[in-house]
Amino acid sequence: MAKILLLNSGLKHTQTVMKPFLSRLEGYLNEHCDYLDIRYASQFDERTFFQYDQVVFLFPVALNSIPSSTLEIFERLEKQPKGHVEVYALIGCDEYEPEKCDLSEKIIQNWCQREHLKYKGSLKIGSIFFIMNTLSRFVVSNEMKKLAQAIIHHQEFYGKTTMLTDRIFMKKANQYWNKEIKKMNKHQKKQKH
Amino acid sequence: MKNLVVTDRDISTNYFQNSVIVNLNNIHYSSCTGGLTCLKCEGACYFKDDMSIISKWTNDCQLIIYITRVKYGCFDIPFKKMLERLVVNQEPFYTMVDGETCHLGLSQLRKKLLVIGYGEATDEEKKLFKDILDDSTLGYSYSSVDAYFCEESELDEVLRTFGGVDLG
Repeated sequence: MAKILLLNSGLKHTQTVMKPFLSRLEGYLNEHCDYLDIRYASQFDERTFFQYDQVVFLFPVALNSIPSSTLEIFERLEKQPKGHVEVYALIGCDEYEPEKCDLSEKIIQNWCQREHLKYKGSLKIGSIFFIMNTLSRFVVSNEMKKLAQAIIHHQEFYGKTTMLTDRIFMKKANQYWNKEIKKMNKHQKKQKH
Repeated sequence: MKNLVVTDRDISTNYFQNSVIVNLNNIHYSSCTGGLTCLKCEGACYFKDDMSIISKWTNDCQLIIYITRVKYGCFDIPFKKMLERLVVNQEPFYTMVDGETCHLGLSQLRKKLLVIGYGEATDEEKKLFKDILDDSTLGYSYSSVDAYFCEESELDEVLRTFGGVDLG
């Protein structure tokens, strides 16, 4: 049994995008740990970071690498007295290829190495804007269960998942943006009237 | 249109005389919230600050020079914050480029990007930095992307060497 922190460390509004993933992970971990805490980048307190046994960073990539909000957390932690924390990451990207999260993972690994923390792996998810609205959500849930199990048993885990094919992705993704743009246009027209 | 130099520390204006030099310490810009409202509103960012002009410049100039500290193999935080605001220069829709999905840049003007990274960085971090550059320029119309690394103490010397590169 351990003390676990789920840290939604992305940019302010991307934290909503990560919420469905965070809620599921919370559900899978809840019964198997002493204490589960959920924090957002804005509420993060660096003084308590090393009181946890395991920390999971959750964020979507920002311009192909780690978001500045997470870098700020790293910087704040540099000044703290160190403890033994196992670090995991759940990284998402809006593109089809979950490999677009690789560079962000390398940065976290690099930081963990510098700070003498144990990096224990990640789950990388592609197509995060809409994957949970498609059948692929079952695949994502399975992978998240595996990540949760790895966290519970203090094991390493490296997984990635995305939509079934890039064709389905392109169709769904461009439909998503068309809808979002129409929604925004409607909203702006309403505001004008 | 003059070229654009964006730096996170004070540099002499003599080195790049045909460029607009933007020192991130002297401008006001908010952090991107990642809501992507700008992509839904044809590139109109919610924040009206100095980045409104800088993001237009990055679209219109032919040479961009970034001078940044390298931290964890990545841009340092103030620079990363500035780059995150440049998401306004992307199309919302996805396109396949070299078998990879990506967002295309709005500007089709061919341009060059030179990044001078300074600070203590291992070889691994330098490689990581170059990979980030390569990935983040996919979909944009850069004719060349170059990165040069040096120690902080060598920066002035390096800038002197690169000085005049913006004259063409």
